[in-house]
Amino acid sequence: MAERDNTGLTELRRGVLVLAVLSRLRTPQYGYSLRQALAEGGMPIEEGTLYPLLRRLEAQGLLASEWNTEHTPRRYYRLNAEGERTLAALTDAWRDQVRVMDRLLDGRRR
Amino acid sequence: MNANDVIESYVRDVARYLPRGKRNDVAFELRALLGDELAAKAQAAGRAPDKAMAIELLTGFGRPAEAAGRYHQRPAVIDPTDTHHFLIWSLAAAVIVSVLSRMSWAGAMSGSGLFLQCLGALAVVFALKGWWRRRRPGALGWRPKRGQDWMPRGLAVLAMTATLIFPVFMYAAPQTFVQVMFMGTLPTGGVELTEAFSQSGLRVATMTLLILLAAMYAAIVVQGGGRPWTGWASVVLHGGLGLLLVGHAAPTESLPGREIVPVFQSVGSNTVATPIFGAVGAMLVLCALYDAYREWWRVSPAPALERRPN
Repeated sequence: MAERDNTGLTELRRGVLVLAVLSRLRTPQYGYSLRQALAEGGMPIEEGTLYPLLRRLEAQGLLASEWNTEHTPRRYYRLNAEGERTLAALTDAWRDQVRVMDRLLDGRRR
Repeated sequence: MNANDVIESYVRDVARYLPRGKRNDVAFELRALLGDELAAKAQAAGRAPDKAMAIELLTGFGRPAEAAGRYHQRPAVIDPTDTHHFLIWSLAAAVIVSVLSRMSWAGAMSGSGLFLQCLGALAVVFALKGWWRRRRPGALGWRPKRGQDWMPRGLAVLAMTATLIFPVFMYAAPQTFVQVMFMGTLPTGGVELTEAFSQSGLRVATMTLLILLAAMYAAIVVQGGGRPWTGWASVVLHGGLGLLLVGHAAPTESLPGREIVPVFQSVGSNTVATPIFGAVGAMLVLCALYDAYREWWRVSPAPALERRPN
């Protein structure tokens, strides 16, 4: 039963992963700092999942990246204009979904 | 080997699975990210990073092939959704090759070599199918099919007539058959049966199954379509006929005390007919196996829907 709960939770979190990542990239972040920021915000993500996701979002044209080699070489990611638009659209969609789910869940209690 | 060597080794192995254009870029970033992760892990543990710590970190990342797959997913050679059909076709190929390699006229063929060639050809066909679907989404899509019992009366009448005219008549009186079909323009001596074959159990059994096959089509005509029992009857009759025809082509020469029973008196006719008997027999066995598979996996959602007139 606990395993089934975990599977459901994993699926649920997978659906909002992109939105969570985009929400933290209004300011430039490198991989590890982003993972820390998400964990501190209550959304811990495995490193093996997060880092390839950043590359995919960049390939989809939502992120811009640049290397900073002043100290330890690190690649910094941030939202570009298209990423900002996508974040706004996904945020609206998320809020709609929350309202819908609240209605459904409240209806179940009655 | 220290912690950095372990990470270098992992990064190299991940990069090897990536397309050439991405390798250096991903490797550079992955090395930096793993360095950050390892430093954080060492800080949390309150000691310097070591080999064991690096291996523990990388175990969480997964095998290099898995990690690379998250960066760049390569399509499967055979789509996972096609695996079932690929196995069915491979099994069919195994049956065909097994039958063919036992034919006396095909003794020079290497069964295992031919089977490997078939498997290779199947892999290429399925890979191309998957590639085409990825290239043109929607291509090779699903189309509605008639149920396996579908056989309109007209088609059943045609099948019954064709069975009676062609194999039954031809088998019962081959010389008359040739005379009638070719209106006396061809000599009939070539299809004269040997005395041994005329009176053999092989011929009687083949004739019996052919007549039963015609009777089955007659039953379909009367019923107005196929039924599950006709499906199984078709499997038994076609399978039996196939085996008997293979028996025509590969006589029981390997059994002790049994001699080859030539079908025709003419040596030339036997030479021409033997591979045809074998090929047709093998094809019938294959069709029977396919039909048996379809009957075995027949889908009958319960409760059965009532048939309504259109």
